[in-house]
Amino acid sequence: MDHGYFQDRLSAYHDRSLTPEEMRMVEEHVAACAECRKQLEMLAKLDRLIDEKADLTESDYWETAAQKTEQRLGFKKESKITIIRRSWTGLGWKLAAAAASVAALTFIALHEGDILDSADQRMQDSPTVSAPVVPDMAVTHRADSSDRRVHEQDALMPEDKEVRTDFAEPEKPGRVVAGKGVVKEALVSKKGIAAEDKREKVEPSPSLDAEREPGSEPAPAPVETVDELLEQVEGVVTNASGEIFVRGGRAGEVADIVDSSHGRMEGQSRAGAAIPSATDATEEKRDIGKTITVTGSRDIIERFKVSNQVAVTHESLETTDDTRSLDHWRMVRDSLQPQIRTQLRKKQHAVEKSTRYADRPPGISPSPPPPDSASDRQTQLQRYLEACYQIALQTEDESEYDDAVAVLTKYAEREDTSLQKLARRYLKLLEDFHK
Amino acid sequence: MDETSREERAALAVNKSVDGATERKLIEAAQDGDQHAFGQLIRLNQKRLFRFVYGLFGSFDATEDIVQEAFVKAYSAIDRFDLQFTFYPWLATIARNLAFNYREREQRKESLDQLQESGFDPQTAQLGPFEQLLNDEAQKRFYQAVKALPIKYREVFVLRHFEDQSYTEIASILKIPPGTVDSRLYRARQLLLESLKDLL
Repeated sequence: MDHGYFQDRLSAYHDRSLTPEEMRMVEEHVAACAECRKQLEMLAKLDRLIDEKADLTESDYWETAAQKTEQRLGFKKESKITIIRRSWTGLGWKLAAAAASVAALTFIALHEGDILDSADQRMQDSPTVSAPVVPDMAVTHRADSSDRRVHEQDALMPEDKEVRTDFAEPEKPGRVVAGKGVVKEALVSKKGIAAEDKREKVEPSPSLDAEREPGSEPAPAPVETVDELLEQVEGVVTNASGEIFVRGGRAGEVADIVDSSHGRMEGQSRAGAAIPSATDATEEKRDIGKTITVTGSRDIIERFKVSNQVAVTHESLETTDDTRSLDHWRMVRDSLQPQIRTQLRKKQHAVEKSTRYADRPPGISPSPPPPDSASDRQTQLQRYLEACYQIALQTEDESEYDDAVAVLTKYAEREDTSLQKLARRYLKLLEDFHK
Repeated sequence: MDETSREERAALAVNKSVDGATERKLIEAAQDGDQHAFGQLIRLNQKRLFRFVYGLFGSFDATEDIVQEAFVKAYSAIDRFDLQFTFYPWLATIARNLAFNYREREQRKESLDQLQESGFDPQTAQLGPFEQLLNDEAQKRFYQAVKALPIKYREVFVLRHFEDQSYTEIASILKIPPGTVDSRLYRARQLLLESLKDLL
C-alpha cells in the first residue's frame, strides 16, 4: 500500500475510528513515515485550537436570549421557586443537619455616656467580651404595648422590597432557628458613637473608650428607650405583642429570621460587664441590653451588622441543638390543621353563600368576618407554614417532607399575599439549606 | 487525541455547568410545570446549542430562531423526557431536526445563489452579529474558517468536534456511509489546517 492510502486514513486513525487491523497497519506506517507523523501532529494541534476557540464567550446576549425564549414560552416574569429536594442518603442528611448552625447576633445597646463609662470600668476588670450566647437563657422582653409603635403588616412589606418574617414563638422566646451562620456577641452603641465600632469585626474590644475618637464627646442620645432605639434602627420593627423583627432581606433574597429577647444580662456573664437586670426595659431605661438572634446566611448577617451599626467583638461558629424538636412542630401542625381546614370550608361556604345571594340588596348580604378573627387566622396560617417548614427541615420521613413542602408550595403559588411571600421564603430557605 | 479522552472532555464540558443529579432535578421540576426550572435548563444549554446550530447554518438569525424553537418544542415535550438520559443530546436532536427541516424549506424557496447571499453561503466568511459572542481575533478567525467550509464538510466537522458524535452516529444522522464521514472529515480538517496554519 502506498503513502497516499495511509495519508487518507490519518484523520480516522487520529480519531481511533479504524478497525483494529487498519489501526495496526497505519501505526506501522506512521512509525516509518515522518510526513505522516507531522500530519498527525498537525491534527492534534487543530484539536487543541478547537478546544481553545470553539467555546462562545459569556455575554449579556445569553440572558437576553433566554428571556426571549421564556417570553415566547409565556413564562411569568416572576419565576416560581425551584425546590432542589434534599438527598435522602442518611449520612449525608445527618451531616447536613449537624452542619446547620445558628447565627445569633447579640448586641448590647448602650444608652448614655455614663453607661459607657460604667461599662468601661467593668471592662477594665475583664476586657474580653466573648461570653457564649445562650439564647434560651434570655427571657422575652414584653414591654408595655403602649410603649411600642404597632406596625401594620402592609407597612412591613412595601412593594416586594422586603419580606416580613413574623413567626416567632410567643411562649418560648429566644428560640434559635436552625440555619447557617455564626454565633456572635457584639456591641452596638447608639447612633453617633458607633462609627468606629462598625469597623470592628472579630477582635475582642479591649476598651470601649478606645473605640471612641480621642477627645470627642458622644453625640446626644437620639433615643431614650430600647424601643425608640429599635424604631430608629433601619429594618427593626416591633409588633403589638412586643416581638421584634429585623428585616434585612430584599426581594428574592433570604430575609432574616429574628427572634428577640431581652434581659437576663446578668445571667449571661458578659465578661464581667454586669449590666443590671433589664427584664423590664420600660423601667430600666438606663441599662439597656438587647439580645437579638438573627438567623441567616453569613451574607445576611453581614448586611444586618452594617445596616444596624453592630460591631462584633466576638465571633464563633457553633452548631446547635437548640431548635425545637420535630415532635413540637408536628404537634403545632396537627393542632392547627383541623382549624385551618375548618376555616377553609367556612370560607368556601361563605363564598358560595355570597354568590348564591348576590342579587340580594347589600344590607342582606353576609357581613365580613370581624378583623380580629381574620388576624387570628392569619397568625394561625403563619404558624402552620412555619411548622411545615420546620418539619421539612428536620424530618427523616420522605413522605412527611413531601407533604410539608406541598403545603408550602400550595401557599407559595397563591395570589400575591403575605402568606405567599412567607411560604416562598420558607421554600427558598429549604432550597438554600439543601444546597 | 483518542475517543475516550474526547468523551471525557465532553462530559467535563457539561459537568462544569451542572451535575447530572441537579439536571435531573431541574427536569423533574420542569415536568411538574416549574417554569423557573426550565428557565435554568435554557440557560445551561443554550450556548452549546447555539454553537452547534450556528456551525450547521452559518446564519445568526436562523440560529436564533432555531434555538428558540428547539426550546419551545422541548418544553412542550418535557413530560415525555426519560430521566435516565441526559438533556442536551435530546435537545440537540430536536434542534438538528429543526435545522435540517428549515434548510430544506429554504432550499426549496431559494435558488443556490440566493442562499449564498442570505448567509448559508459556505464560502462567505463574514460573521456578522455572531462576532459579539467571540472573545478575540483568533476565535473570529477560527469561526470564519469553519463557516467557510463547504456545507457537506462543515456539518460533519460540527457533529464531530462540537457535538462529539462518533463516525457511526454522524453517518446515521446524515444518512451517509461511515466511509464518507471519514473522507469528509478528513477534507474538512485539511481545509482548516490550511486556513488556520498560522494559529497552530
